[in-house]
Amino acid sequence: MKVINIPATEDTPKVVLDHENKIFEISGRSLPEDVVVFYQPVMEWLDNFENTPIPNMELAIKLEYFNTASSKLILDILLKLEEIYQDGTPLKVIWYFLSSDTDMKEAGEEYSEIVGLPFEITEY
Amino acid sequence: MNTQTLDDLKFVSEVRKQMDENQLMLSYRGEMSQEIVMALLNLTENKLNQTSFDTSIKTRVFGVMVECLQNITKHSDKGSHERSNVFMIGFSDQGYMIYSGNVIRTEKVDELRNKITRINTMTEEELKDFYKYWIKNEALSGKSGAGLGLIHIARKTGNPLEFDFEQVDNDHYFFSLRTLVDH
Repeated sequence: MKVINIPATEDTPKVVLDHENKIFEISGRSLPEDVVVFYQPVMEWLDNFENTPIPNMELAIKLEYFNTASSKLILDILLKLEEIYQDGTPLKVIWYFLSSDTDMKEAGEEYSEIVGLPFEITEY
Repeated sequence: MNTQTLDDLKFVSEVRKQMDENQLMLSYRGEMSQEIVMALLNLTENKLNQTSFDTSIKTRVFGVMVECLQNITKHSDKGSHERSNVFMIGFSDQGYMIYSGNVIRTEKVDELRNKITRINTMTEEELKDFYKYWIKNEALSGKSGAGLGLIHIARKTGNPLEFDFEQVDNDHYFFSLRTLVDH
């Protein structure tokens, strides 16, 4: 499985999916013009991960802002992880929000209501 | 220098007066691309960062702007009116007033009007359910309409979406939208 390490830009988040160093993170801002194109490598990586899962992955989602188009793609990522989790691979999602940003906390709560997998919501 | 030139220049002062009267801090008219969206966001964000409002207020203003501007990049008519897009943001005692406008094709008017009218009748809880339903079930095609963005704006502002359609020619209408983010 290849390592994904995409640096952040002003409209796309930093994405690290590195099983060798056990770092799984999506952070920053997500408002690209074409969300499907941007998240394509992430979805492909998850397909590979599904075939050769590594237990106890912890995905940190630490977004400052995301547009509604990204909200659909974030759900797609979470639904994929739900599938992997329900097939028997333990994993966890940690949703970070800035203590002063209640909207981002609520967004995490809404996702946790939609998907069935361990989902921790933590302020930073 | 003749007086005619000076008279012509009066519009500069007129535009300034109009902007002052409407308490506008930024006004843009022209083509809309992702690069321009980012430039408008950066300009507004710099101004927002000079205020002492909560992060949530700033994020809401930012969020409403993103959805309005990206709706324009995705849905405005790309024909002869592609430079007719408008974006403005004002600041008053009530909060941040965000205006956007763009030309759409006549056949899209009814659908958009119905969508906004429906969103405006929904309670907070209904909007939340509608949003969840939408991200779970609707295809994310760029052509599926401006639904999710408009729902997001209504949810995050808690205020009605004020809108207007003005006929431009047989095939086109100018769609204007105004939203208030309370502070």
